[in-house]
Amino acid sequence: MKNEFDDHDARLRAALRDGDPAAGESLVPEEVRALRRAMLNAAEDAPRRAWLPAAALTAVAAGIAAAIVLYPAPPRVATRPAAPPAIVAPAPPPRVSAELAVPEPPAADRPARTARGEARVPAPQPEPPLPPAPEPPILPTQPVLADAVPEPRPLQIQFATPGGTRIIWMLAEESES
Amino acid sequence: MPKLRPHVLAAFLLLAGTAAAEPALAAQGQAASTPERYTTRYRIFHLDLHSAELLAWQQCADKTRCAVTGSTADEGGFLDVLADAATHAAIVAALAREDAAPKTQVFQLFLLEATSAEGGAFPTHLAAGARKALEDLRSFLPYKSYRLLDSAWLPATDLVRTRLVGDGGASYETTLRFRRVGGPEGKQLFVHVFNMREEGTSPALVDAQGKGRPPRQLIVTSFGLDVGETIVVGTSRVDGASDKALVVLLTAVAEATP
Repeated sequence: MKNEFDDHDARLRAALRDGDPAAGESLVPEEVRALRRAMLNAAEDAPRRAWLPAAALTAVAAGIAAAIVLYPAPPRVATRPAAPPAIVAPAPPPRVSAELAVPEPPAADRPARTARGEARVPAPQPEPPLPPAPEPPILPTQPVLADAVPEPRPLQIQFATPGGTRIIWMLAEESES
Repeated sequence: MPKLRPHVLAAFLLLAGTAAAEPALAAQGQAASTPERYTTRYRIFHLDLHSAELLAWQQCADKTRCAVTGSTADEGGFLDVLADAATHAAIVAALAREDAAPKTQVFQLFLLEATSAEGGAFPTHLAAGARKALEDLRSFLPYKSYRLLDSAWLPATDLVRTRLVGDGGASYETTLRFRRVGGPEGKQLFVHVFNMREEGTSPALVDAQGKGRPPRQLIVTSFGLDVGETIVVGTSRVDGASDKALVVLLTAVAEATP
């Protein structure tokens, strides 16, 4: 059962045959090889052109990726610089003074020599003022003193016995008696 | 070539859509992962400011997202902390624990007179730590005799004063000020004031001829002390006597374990 499409194909086929310039006569071998070379060249060019869509996609993707990377980030809240990550707890004062070259104390004040470090160190700096203590009354026999003269602070040496006991020894001034 | 255009356009639209949605998603993710920060001021009651700052920093998991500023005003010390809610909660808990009322520390103090007299006495009824310290001292210094003059039991949180009486009624005002190192449970103390001064009313200030002299500062020092440790603080040439010394045995009494 033929339909109109079959008729159409038949007419087209007949038209092509009628219009074929090579119909009825064969090509010389040179022409056949030239046609073959042209077809093969065209076939070799076809895959090369097939990369074009991929190349275009890659270029577009690269452009968009660049736009994403260079997209301005949302503004951040300004923060202060971070503190050092590790903060060391305050160490207690040294338990034994370092060795220092100091003059010998008076013979009566000089403790026995030890293998441990021995040092003479000045008295500590004045501390923040304590709550005011009641002023001592002046004895009747006490002479008037020059208040402006600062009281000398005793020197001290700090050392440790071989048994581990720490000793702080104050070197009092020679008494005027 | 014309057949490629729809593919390129589709790819472009797809990627462009993704790019447009990315900042919003990133912002949403950032908001979810980085909680909001705010500043709170904390009053510091007992800790020193440095210890309080250290404590606050220790509660901050991400140090780059915290800011701790200590300041001192007439009312006392303050910490201004910029952090997220979780860090603030940790700081509140830590301050409630560490900035509580200072713990009382008991000091035991013995005042002894040391002389060079041969065959002298040696006090036997001292606490164990003080006795051991005195034995170390005796084997170390030339003094042969030790006589117990006075003792004191001093509970203190910061500052304590006491009066000690020595030989012949000589009286000494002793001041001790300390702080605990490393928080309320710290076992190290820093005694930043330990003074012993002759009292102005002390009869030792008047000699046999009735001539008076001003009171002297006998001991001015500072030191670190472990809880349970005994330290010896002494001074020689008391009353001009070259063979006599005053010795103080100071013990930071360890808390009795139940």
